[in-house]
Amino acid sequence: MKGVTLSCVTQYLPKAALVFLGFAMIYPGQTWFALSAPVVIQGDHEEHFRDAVLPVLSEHCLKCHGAEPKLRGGLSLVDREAMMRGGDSGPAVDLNEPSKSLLLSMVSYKDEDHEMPPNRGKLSSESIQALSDWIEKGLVIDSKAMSEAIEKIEGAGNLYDNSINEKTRQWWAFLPLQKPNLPAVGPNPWSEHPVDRLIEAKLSQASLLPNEPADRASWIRRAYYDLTGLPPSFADVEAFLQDSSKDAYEKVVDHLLASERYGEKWARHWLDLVRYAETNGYERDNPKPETWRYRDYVISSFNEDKPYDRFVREQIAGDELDTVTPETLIATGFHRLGIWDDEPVDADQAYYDGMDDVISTTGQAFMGLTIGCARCHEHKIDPIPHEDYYRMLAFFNNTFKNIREGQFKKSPYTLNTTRVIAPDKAVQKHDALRQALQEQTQQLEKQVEAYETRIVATFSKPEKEDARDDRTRRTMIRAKKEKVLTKAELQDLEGIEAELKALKERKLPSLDRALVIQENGPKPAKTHVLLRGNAHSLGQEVQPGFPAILGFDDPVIPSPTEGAQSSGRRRVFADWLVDSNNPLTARVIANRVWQFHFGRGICRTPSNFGQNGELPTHPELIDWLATYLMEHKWSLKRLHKHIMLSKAYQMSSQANPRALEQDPENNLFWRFDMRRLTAEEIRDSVIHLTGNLNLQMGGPSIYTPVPDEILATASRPDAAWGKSSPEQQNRRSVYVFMKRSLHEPVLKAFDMADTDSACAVRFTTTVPTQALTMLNSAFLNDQAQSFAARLEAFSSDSDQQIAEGIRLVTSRQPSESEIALGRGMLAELVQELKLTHSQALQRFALMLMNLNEFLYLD
Amino acid sequence: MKKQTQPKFSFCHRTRREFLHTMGGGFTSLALTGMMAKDGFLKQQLHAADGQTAWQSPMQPRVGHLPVKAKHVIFLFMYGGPSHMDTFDYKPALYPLDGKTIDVKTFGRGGHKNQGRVVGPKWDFKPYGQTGKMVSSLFPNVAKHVDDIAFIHSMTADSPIHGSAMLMMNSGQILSGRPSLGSWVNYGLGTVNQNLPGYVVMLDQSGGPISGAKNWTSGYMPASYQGTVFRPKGTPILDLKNAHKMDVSEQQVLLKHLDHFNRGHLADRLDNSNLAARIASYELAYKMQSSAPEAVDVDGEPDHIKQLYGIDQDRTEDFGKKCLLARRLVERGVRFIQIYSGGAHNDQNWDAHGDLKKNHDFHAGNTDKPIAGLLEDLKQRGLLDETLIIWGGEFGRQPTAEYAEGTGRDHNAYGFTMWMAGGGVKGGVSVGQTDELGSQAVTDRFHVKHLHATVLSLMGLDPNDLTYFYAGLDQRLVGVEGAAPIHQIMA
Repeated sequence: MKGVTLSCVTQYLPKAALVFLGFAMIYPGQTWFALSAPVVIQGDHEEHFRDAVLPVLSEHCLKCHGAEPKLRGGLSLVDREAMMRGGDSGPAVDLNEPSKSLLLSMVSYKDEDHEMPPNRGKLSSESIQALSDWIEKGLVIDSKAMSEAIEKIEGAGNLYDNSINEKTRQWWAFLPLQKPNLPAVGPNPWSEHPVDRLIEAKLSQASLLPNEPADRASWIRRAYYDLTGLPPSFADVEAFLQDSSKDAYEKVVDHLLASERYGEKWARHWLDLVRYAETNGYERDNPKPETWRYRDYVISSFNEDKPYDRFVREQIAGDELDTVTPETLIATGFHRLGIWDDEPVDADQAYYDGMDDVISTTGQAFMGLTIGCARCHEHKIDPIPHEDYYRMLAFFNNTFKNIREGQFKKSPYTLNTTRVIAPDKAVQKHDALRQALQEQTQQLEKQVEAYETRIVATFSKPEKEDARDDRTRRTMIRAKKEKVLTKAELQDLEGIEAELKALKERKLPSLDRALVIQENGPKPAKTHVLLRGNAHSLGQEVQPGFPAILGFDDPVIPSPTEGAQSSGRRRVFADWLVDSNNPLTARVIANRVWQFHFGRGICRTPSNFGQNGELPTHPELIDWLATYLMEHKWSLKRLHKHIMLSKAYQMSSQANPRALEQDPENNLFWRFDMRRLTAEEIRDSVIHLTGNLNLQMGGPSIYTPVPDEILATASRPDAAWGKSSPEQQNRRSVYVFMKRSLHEPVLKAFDMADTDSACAVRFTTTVPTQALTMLNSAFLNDQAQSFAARLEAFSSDSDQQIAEGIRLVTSRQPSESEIALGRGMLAELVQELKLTHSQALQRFALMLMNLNEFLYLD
Repeated sequence: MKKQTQPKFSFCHRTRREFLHTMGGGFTSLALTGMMAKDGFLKQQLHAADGQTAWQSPMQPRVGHLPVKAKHVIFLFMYGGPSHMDTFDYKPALYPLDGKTIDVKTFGRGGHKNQGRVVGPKWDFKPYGQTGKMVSSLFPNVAKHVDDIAFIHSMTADSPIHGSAMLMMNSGQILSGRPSLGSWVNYGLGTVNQNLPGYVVMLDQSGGPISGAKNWTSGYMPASYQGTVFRPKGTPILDLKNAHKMDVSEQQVLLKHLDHFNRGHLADRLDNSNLAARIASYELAYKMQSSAPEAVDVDGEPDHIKQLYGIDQDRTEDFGKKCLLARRLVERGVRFIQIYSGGAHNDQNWDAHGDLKKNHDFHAGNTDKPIAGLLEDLKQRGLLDETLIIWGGEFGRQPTAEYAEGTGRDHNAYGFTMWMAGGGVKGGVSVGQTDELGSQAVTDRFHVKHLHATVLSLMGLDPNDLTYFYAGLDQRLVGVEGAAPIHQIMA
């Protein structure tokens, strides 16, 4: 049988691939976790291992049978359990009958299909003997020597302890969250702010000094962009420069946190994490209904400073909370934002893809764990057993309607469920209106009937026979009515009929709906472990449970109350997420808040706090911020303010040769890192320069003009994109329609998040096509035109126009030499290239929009 | 030449690498992170950026792991799924069964079926070349080159549904969000011509394939590695021309002053290589404006070359231009070029559900001459040896009809044909077989990932060692288990 590497894979092979390639093997499943602890062995056996065995393993075996991800055939030789567990061909050793061990048979080249090591010839007889003795003597391994050996082998991978034990429980992110002790303040303290004390302690250990504060103009620009995604006006800067009061910085922060622009900016960070998009992906990439309400929910949650714990609970289980409101229902749209294939090749597998989308996103976004890696087997690096994935899945396993193969055409996949969320009053009003209309209709119909009865009464007997047929009767009535009724009566009847028609044509205003989660009733489906992640290979049944490494008791799921529409399981999970003893949730969000102020997380892998994430540079600082957040009722605005009023946040971004030499990556936060604006900040700032940025909030998404070249890439170019009015096109980027197969080109050019999975950190690429967009695109040139018009309206003096342009782009006063440079540019364009002043000013405005100073923050 | 750090593909410094991949600003802007995770390179970028040292593009050429057989790839993508038994996979037993209902297991758009009405092949086959390879009358011109072609008749894929099958052929998985083959090649090798994109996609006149840009996405890799759509008419690349008709001389004035401002800004921030990179990217963009239109200017080609590609005839003009353009791009160092035959939906591509005859006559008629011209032209210029040509769709078609009436065939991912020619490929070879109906591959079955492994290997990249760290693991184009290339077709 062909060897299969057992590596972590977040998306598993679909069934079809398993069948085609003969990979459909059954994994030995649960026996993994039942293995006993290693046996304690004497020293001389260890010596034999070090002297005789390890050299053989190092030279011939460990490159392929060491650690992930290079493991071949699923076999690792690094510890006893791994060897007894074996690989795809079965256990490597048999301690009861050592001579029958598969490992020995392979190295002896007994079976030509199973020769190890392959291709390089058989081991020497001494080497084989050493291995044989080793197994005979009970397979003793000196794990320290083994680790060292593995590290020396290039390409063999690092060793991770992924079992649940005392050591792995001590991993920083799994330890209980406690408020750290702050370092003592020295005689000449940099700052007494707790954040600064934690940072200074590390800097002084390295004999480094924190940078001087940035100048005020740089700081206020930094603060404005960080909190609102837009620059300060020149007047804002001037006012701040003049403000000598002690709380000048604090006033700016308070002002920005109170601005509704804050929610728009920070919602985008969240939307990246929850893979927000408004279409389903795949072939048709159809729109999801009402998705924008979720976006607005996130914006208003930030603006209201909704406690983060509530924010979490609403998204996971907004339909199961004590108080369910339209808002909490909209929040559950979180579950429905992912991609799904409406024409799946394997419906069962597609069902679990949908589940995986939610579990992986939940794991990364809320918990900072790559739980998705445990879908096919145990997590290869973190102590997350295979079973834990399915225990987590059991909390959610009642929320997707499965569809069988071939049914997709008949019954649309029901992931796009919507639900009425209009307030009760509106629903009552709606019902009342409908009833009133009904009554009115009935009344009118009675009047018509009365007239008709009179007419029918005049029918002869044979006519009455014919009139049994409805259609015929109506024709006959029409023909006779003028004879029977008076003119006035006729008029009356016509009036009534017209009124009826109008009534019937009247459409009731539709009630607001939202994309929500919906369970298949209070009784949850059974959940099984899926062997190798294969939806067709059921393992043992599991009950809902939390990751075992965190050491929580198994959850107790309350019995559903009468009339409950769901199992209540997600509520339990949500409550656990924000439990004060949960070590992850607060750390993860505190680290993210820091990340979007300082350009990087204290832990640089903000969605991976596991063992192959980066170690945090300042673990105590994460703990400080996390406890601060919880102590302040999970108020994110309090946390922002706490961070932003630190000296650390005030530092300049200037280089310092010594620090640069010693700590080029700024691990110790000796300075503030410069950052490029995000895609949304760039687009919004460009429009902002023209004075035309439309700050209208909320509602269905808008469409920017997209060049035909982009539309032509769609399989239905005409139907690929919508059209909004010019005013609507000038709205902020967070309101631009998010289509999975067609990304807004300007946002795409500047590294907007990919929408197919959770994005914790965006790329910041620098490529020539960005320069083409900034120089040549219709968007930039149109905006430059408007910007130039604004400058012309500001003043008729050329120098004044140049100065104002630089002020608007940089939020600072231009220097004389800069004005001279601008003057030179205009002169060259006008005098040598014969452009009009207005045309030249457009070029100048476009040049300003391309400045590094415009796109980069100090 | 500046000292360069060799790319490192193998597993190393894992945590460091994740940091490099995910850190927000700074170094990631060069988008090289996965390749250049060695400390030396990192420090060099962070330290030595003095505003003077030349900026290194993320697309700079790199050396792979294996001997290089092919420097370029031209992937002729027959979108919609051409029928193998009507083109290159001769099934004599199928003709007499025409119209008969037989037991055969099929899985296509219409789901799983156990029975079907056979549609006999609608074209005659005859032998060509020294090997006597049987080719149908759909491809009389390509047939003349069979001695240069290696046919794989036993291809399989995971999905018989367009959306997911397209993703698989282009990115190796039926799930969305993965980088495409061209992205992997450019990630692994960079490009030798910095004035042109390293990965070019040309679409059918009727529109893009379904899922559009997902087919040439860089997925979880930086956008620098995504395909760039090239148009053979007008401006080849988006935003290559100024939307407000600013001419070159004006642009030069603009760029000159932009440079002044930016260098002034840089003076106090010399340690920040991103700023220098951004300044350099304007120079490249400027050059791209002239080099890209020059590359697509096929009008200057001599008439006999135009005729060779069928550019002189209405039917073949469009695809012929694209093939000729592909050759010109190859000459200019572009690594990976993908040309779509067929776009949009239904009969605008090879998806012959209704009238097989009409559909395939149309699409083969549009492409046969240009493809043959491309093979011949590359060969006569000595470029075929270093250029790998791939022909095929996302799957093949069923031997049976999809509907009660008509000749249309449903999708078939259990067995289909693809072919390769040029760089590192043996000519005159056919590997693998489908059963006598062509309904499924039975001998030497190959999966899409074997095809991908072959492409990477021929380009000098070890498919099992070309990794990119994402979502907690080293991702590969060919999947976590790895895959071997198809040695039988490799020279």
